[in-house]
Amino acid sequence: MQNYLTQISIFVSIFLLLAISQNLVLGFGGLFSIVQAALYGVGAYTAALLVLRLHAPFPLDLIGAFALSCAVGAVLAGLLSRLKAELVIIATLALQLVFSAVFRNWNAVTGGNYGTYGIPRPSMFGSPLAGLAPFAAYAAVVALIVFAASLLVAHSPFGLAVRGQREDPVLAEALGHNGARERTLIFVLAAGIAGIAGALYAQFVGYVDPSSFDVNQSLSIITIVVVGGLGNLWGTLGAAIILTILPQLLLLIPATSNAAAQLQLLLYGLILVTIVRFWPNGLIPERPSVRAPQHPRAAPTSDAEGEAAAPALERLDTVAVEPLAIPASAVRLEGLSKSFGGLQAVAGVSLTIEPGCVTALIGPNGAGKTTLFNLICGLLRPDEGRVFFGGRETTNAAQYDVARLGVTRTFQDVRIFPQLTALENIVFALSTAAFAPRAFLRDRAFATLVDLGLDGHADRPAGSLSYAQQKMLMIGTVFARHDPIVFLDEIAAGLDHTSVHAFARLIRRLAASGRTVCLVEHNLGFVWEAADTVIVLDAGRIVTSGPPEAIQADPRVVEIYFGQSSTVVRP
Amino acid sequence: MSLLVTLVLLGLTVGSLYALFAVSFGVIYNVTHIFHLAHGAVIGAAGYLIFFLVSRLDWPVWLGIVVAVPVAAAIGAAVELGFYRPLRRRNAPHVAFFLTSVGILIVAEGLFGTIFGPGTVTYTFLPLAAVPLGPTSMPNANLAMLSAWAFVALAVAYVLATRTGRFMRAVADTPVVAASVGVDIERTYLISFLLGSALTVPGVVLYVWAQGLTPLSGLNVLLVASAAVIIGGRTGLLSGAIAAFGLGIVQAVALVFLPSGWQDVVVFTILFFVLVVRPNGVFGRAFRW
Amino acid sequence: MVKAAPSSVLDVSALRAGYGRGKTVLHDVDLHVAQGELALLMGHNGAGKSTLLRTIFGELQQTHGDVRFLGEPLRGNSAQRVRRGISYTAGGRAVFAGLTVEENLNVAASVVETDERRIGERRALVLDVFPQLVERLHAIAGGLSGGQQRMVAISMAVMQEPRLLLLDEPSLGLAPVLVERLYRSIGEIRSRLGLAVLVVEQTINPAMLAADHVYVLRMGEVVFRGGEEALHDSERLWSML
Repeated sequence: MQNYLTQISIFVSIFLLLAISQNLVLGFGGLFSIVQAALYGVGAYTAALLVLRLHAPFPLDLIGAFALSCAVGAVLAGLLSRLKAELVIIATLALQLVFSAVFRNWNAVTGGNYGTYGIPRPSMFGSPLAGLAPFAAYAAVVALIVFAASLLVAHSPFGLAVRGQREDPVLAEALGHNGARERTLIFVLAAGIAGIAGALYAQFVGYVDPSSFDVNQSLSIITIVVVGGLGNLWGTLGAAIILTILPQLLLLIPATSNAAAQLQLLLYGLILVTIVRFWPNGLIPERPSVRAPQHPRAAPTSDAEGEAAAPALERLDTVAVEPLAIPASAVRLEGLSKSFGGLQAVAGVSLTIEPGCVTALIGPNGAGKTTLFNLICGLLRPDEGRVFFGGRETTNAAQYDVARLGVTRTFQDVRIFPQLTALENIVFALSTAAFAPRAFLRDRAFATLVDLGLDGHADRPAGSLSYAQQKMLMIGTVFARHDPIVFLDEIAAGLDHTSVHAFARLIRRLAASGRTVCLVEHNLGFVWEAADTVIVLDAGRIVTSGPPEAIQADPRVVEIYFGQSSTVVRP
Repeated sequence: MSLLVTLVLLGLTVGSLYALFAVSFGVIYNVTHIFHLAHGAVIGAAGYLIFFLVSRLDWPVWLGIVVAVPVAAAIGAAVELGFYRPLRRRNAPHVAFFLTSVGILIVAEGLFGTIFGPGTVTYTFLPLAAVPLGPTSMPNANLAMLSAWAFVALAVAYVLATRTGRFMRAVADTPVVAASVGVDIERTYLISFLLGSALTVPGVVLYVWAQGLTPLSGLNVLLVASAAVIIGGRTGLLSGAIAAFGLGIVQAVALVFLPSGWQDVVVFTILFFVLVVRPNGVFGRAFRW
Repeated sequence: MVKAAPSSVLDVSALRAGYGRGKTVLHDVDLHVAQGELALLMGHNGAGKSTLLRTIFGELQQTHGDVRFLGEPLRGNSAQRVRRGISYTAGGRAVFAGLTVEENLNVAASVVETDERRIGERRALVLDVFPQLVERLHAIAGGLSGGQQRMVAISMAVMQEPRLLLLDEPSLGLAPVLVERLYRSIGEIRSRLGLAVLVVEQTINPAMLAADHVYVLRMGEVVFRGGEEALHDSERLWSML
């Protein structure tokens, strides 16, 4: 019995590693990858071959398995990076099947269907780990080290960055993060961990055959992760223990022991289906990587429920605008053009956005305003023309490179990371400041929330805040970053009269600090109040520009919105 | 040369089988865009049901097959009504549908394995024989294949010509516009599941007749069928069928160069690269249905 | 409570609607369209025009207020409202790009009508109003120009024999000449079929001056309503946006 439990504990260690690997990729990275069993197999076969053919001593077999799995993971990540999310599922399924077939057929290397036999136990300090208990201890140590390391990664700024790009890759890039690189890194790390699991398996069981690394195994691993909760590593620990022990019980009951393998499959399937059916968003919510600081304060500056719209507005007038260390640059566009299919969205636009004033882009629907923003900030590449920030050309730069030049860009409609907490949202926006200590980022982010009256909601998922609060959170991102160049897309959307005035004053204070501020707006009342220069776009071209009073009175602008007022057409 | 011809013919036969399944999967996938892996459970269920009714309960073969059709349809509909529809109502993330589908597939695999054992089950009641046709004769298996195609093609054509078929094509084209126009999207989805699940039966009969049935058969068949639909371009049934024939031929011809176990590698490597290089499939939007 | 006039088709009273969690877009909106009338709803982006149409169509649920159709309170989802006689078409999501023009028309008609002969009659009427579609009946809708697609979209709505036609920015992206033609056709449809038409637009074209009423929506509230005379005073309308 003792031996039996010890043996189970070894499998718990192995499956814990596999589940951690899967959770990192799926729960944190948001990549629906079903290829973990194949990577598990790569690790197992690598360890086996290193020991049997190259007589590699421990720990080289373990390290070699880790390294090769990482390498394979890197290649796969590169191939998968161009795929849309729904297709990643199918693509990794295809990969898993390819690997299974290779394991079964590449007789020379893997031993084909019969597998590879005779793998000795690793030798430590001169003697092999022949007994169950010593091996179990070794396996547990490896598993716990990896578990601890994974927790560190999950709570690090890198972990936060990975979770952010999972929620909204475009927003993540606009805030300065290279999402593709982060996804690749997490995928490679996960692959390596799966490889370590494979090495442990090979070292323990002594032989490896393809049936352990097939698609059913991948699905079992996913079940463990789903039960424990996506993005929740402690949940994974619990689930790995339970789901490894549970099928073993089937072996003990005489009635079920014959069909144990099939019943295990049935059991896993039922658990998976039940959980997903009733808790489609994961069983246990993930834990935030950073929490509001616990220092005492007089009273929360905002109420815990619902409305904070009115009190928050006063804060807009008092929130501090950080002075600029270096002067902001002007943004210059030269002959920018972009078409989609046959539609010319932007045609030959040249303009300069000056620092120290508010420039507003207006025009009817389809005039090309947001497209222009996207071209400037790197979300789109122009067909023709160039973009300059100060003297620096950024024409084909990616969003994250533009963001790192000191640019904050917001999107139409409130765009935040709904599953990250309010505090995490701000920390995310700050965390490209290289190597800033976590506590510093947290405190600065929290200070911003206090300024805007959101500190009472710091640890709540941003998706649960009201629309008005989410809008304030977005403003918080702008303020926390202190960037010299700010692009705001329809910031006044959905605001009532009083809010519009408050926001206009805020924008003007930003510009007064010397910043370069550019708006796209439909709310003309807001524009007249907030802007110094108004640029009118129609059908992708600049029609006219000037101060608000001039634009308001310009008959050409009236015509764009109203057509010629003189003729009457009657049916 | 004659080896090549033989292989191509073999490929066409195998491909024909894949194509039948590709049509049944495509009916569901093109309309609902759900990667309904649980279709493999329906396939397995149909296969084991016929075996049970005919081999164990001594029903006539034709009756077993006929009964399997509504049962398969009902299982598919049950998955949609019991799982996918509630998930849609809760705006569940895309992943949830896939996990559910996978879970149902695993449950089915486990269930079949527990009840019928992990070994291969065959339709011993379907012997191979030659059917006389005027001056010549044709193996009854080939005749069955042709009948299966006739049945499936007629069923599909009938549906496409009806009002419901119009709605299916509309929803497959642009669900948002279909909603604006007032098409009952949920009902259209349900009909797709009923039809697609029912259409598995001809393919199942032929498949099990040729290769026997294991708990894993549903998954294996489904993977190739879905690969064909995706490679073909996901907009039409015809493109999926053609892709399936193509895969069958490629697999067979690959036998010249590679040992027999490597066929799976060929199919799924092709699938992977199509996904990476041409995610809209080889034919893109060229086929309208 | 507004007493519905006998020929009244659409009565919106004190409507409040939004997208949940405090994002209320419409505040206390009143709007009426009678049979045979063309009502124009103007406002800038974000003012709530599309939200209003979608609430009337049943895609969004109102939080307060009343929407009455032909004197009866309006309930049910959008598919049910189509069957009751409300058709809707919106700029960006208008046609089935992979189907032919004829198939597009058939699908729309099939939602409310099963008799193929009557569908054929209605198709003939639609082709009479939009003769440019006759030679394009078997062309793939996605390959048509923007203006032609817009015609197909409106035709699809007409194929459903509605009593109320909701058009969301039909002029979006079209050249002024095409807009003029489009509105002439809308006027013809209105007269021949006695429809009530509610059109949402962001910019005015002279052709729209054929409207009977104009409403201006700003930040979710109706800030102006007027008859035909109002349409000629573009300065005033501009100042209210």
